Amino acid sequence: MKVIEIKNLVKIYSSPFMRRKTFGVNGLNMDVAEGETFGLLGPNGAGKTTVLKIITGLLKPSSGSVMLWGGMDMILAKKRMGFLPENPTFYRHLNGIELLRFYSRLYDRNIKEEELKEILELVGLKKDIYRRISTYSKGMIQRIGFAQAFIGDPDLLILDEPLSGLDPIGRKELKDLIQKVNSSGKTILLSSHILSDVEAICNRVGIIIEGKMKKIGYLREILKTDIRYTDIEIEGIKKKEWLKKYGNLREEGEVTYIRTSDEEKRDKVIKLITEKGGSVISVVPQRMSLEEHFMKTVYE
Amino acid sequence: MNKILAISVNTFKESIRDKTLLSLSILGFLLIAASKIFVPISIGQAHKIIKDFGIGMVELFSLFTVVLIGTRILYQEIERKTIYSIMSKPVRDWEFVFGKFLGLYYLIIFIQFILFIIFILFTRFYLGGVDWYLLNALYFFLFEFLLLNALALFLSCFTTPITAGILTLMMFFIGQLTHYLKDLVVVMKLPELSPIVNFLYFILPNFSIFNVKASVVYHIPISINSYFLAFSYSVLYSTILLILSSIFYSLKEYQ
Repeated sequence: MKVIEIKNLVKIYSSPFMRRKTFGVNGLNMDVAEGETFGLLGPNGAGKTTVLKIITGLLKPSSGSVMLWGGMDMILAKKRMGFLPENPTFYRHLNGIELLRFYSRLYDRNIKEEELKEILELVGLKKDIYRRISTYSKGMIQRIGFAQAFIGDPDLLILDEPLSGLDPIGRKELKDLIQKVNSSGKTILLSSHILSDVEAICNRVGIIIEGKMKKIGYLREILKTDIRYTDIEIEGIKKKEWLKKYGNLREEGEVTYIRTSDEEKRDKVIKLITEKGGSVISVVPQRMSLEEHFMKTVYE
Repeated sequence: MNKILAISVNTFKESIRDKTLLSLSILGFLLIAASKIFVPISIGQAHKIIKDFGIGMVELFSLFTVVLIGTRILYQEIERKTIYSIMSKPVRDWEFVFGKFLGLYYLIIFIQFILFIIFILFTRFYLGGVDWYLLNALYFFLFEFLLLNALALFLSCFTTPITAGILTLMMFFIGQLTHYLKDLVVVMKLPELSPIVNFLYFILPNFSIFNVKASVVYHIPISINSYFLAFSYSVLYSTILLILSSIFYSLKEYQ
């Protein structure tokens, strides 16, 4: 089932006193299926946050449609979604549990105090339940942001730059948390600049450039399509000069590596080495990283 | 209702910590206390002058609270981006607007009660007895500022806090004089202006119906109709303004 379905989405920002119009999003199509972890990528100003804000009802589309759970009413849909905004800010006069208590009252059903404490424990703020938000560090603000998004046990989590500004430990912990939440069957849509994190967390990605979806697909498929070269580790071959015509030869002590640039040469090397009594220890295809894919898409 | 209550209580808790409020509180207290300086120069009118001055200070202080805090209350949420986490939850625009309105109204009630207690204690110690008739002024203030609060919130839906503040002040002062508008047409012998004046008289809030200061100070009986008119006019006008505010606010986007 499709949790989010976006068709021909256009968002135009215009000032009442200026004639100039800016396209925040320009004819975007995408969908997110149930249980997916979808990563929205794009350079600054590409329209990622605009898309997330339209989905959460904070912005209205100029044209096109956004359907949640097949066209569910927005208020009903909001009961099933949690949103973490980019660089979130919260009421500084409240402490951790008071803040969650406040947000929990914005739902129609009664959410127990124990449930809120469990959420705070889940995001690693158990010790800071009674600490004022004004004394929280950047990482703690991000964690309380996660906590408020988890209220009401939402089926869909929308996270805008969830790992930005965190130290490596914080990033690792929150990355694990996202994966843990996803493994419980929840759908996650996130935007991020940190491509290595997206690569580790998401199973599907979309690259937005200038408000348009330039590339969308399963991460494994996107990465599979572009094998840059293959490293073959070999042993048991004395004369190796002949291998040079198939690729770049490199020796590291007893081990020899040959880097082939295409599949035909790779298969031929493997076959010849076996015929000459040598052995192939490993064959490692070196794929383009998501970062390289991203750069390629941006400059295409 | 639970959502409106949660938003209103949070707004009240937040506003009470506002530094502007603290400064105004100190100023309000000092000004009520300052009425004592009029005693030596009042030539037998000390009671009346102190009461008049004290009531005036409560009204002025409430006015500043609405203008300085009330007009910022919606804008602040957008400016500080705290709105994102609220409006992405199942909250309707009107629930948010009513919640913010009520939160500020709790603050006004709180302030007026505190200032009235100070004022009553002041009259007890300096005038030798408590004048409970002064509480009538509090009743009318509560409804006067219910309306002004709704007006400030309405204006802040489509203007900046500074513009909304100036407009609220203007409307407050014009609203004290709207009953003179009709007389103006007669006195100036301009019947052709009558439809415009009638329209303005009808549309502008009439704050003069809440003005019972003279009656309170001079112990002139206030009719039951005045109490009822203050209540019904304020509640009806505020409800209309809040409905309009909700409509305007629902057109807003949170960029």
